[in-house]
Amino acid sequence: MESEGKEPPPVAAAEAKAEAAGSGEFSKKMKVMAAVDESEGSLHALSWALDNLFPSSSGDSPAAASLGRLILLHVQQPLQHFMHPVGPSIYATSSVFESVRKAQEENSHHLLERAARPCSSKAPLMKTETVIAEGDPKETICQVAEKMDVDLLVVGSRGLSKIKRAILGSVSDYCAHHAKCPVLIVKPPKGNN
Amino acid sequence: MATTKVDGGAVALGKPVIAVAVDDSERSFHALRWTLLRFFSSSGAAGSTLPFKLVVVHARPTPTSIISPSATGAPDMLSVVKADLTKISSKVIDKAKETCLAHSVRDVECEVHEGDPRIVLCQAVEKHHAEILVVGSHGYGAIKRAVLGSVSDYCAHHADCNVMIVKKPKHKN
Repeated sequence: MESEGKEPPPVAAAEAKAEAAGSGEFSKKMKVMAAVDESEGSLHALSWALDNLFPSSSGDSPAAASLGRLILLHVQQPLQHFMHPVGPSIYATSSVFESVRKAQEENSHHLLERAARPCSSKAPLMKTETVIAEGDPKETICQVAEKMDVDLLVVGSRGLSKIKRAILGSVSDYCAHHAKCPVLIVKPPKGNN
Repeated sequence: MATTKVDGGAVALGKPVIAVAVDDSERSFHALRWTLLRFFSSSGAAGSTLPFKLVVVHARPTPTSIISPSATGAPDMLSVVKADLTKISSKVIDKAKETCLAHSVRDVECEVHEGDPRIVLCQAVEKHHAEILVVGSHGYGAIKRAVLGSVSDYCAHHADCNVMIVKKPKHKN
């Protein structure tokens, strides 16, 4: 399956020049996906991306219209996790299940709304989409990024130490190695412990 | 330490720096080209002011990392290896400059340091206060990475700045 020319295949410098000349316009139309959750790190990653990846998005220059898309992805943990603390009450009524599910969905929507706010204030002319997916965060992020054929995946980083990362697992680590597209890991700002 | 400035004209103060790591692999040049395409293309009429400054960093392996100094005939071999490595690294820098010019980026600073790439890259990031470090990726599996070590892994965790890992896309069916 040929991708629609979004990935540069040049090998020689001459080829690259021709490609650069021809694709100058489209290269700004980067499809960027930012993974957000409740952590400060992911919100910081998002605002960093807004500031630096779409620099000319403020103001009403005509170039702003061709800026590219920003997709905010939030991955919900599958609901089984929430049922464990409920314990042996296997007879938990479906209404409990329903209300937990609803609460979780509301939570995700609020989260995405909160994340989308800086997007609309910093880059009002840019298309921002929000996506909610369910599953294991690290795998799901990579799968959705691949499915939506994004050009760049932006993830925050908790700045965990090596041991903590091995035990707790690191979403940014996993994405860096398994995502098919380039991955940008945004570190928390210095001076924040 | 060899530092060459390509067209060191007006270096705007306060421009955030993107550092790109290159070596003699095609992967790292793919990362450089990707960065040039996405961040340094000036398609508009007012394209003369790019938001970022590009720094290309190349780590030249030390001769002793290839030949152990205690091997027989080592001193002669070491000088031959060193000459070879110097030749390879100047080719790498030339190719990098060529690639930048092909994308109409003239204001590029190139840095070549001898040593372990992991350390060289992190030091270059500190020196230039880079905002982003761009590295290619081997695409090794977890075991190879643990055994052979991974520069992109090390940098992702230890560099002071944000790290962008650019992979060469596998051929899609």
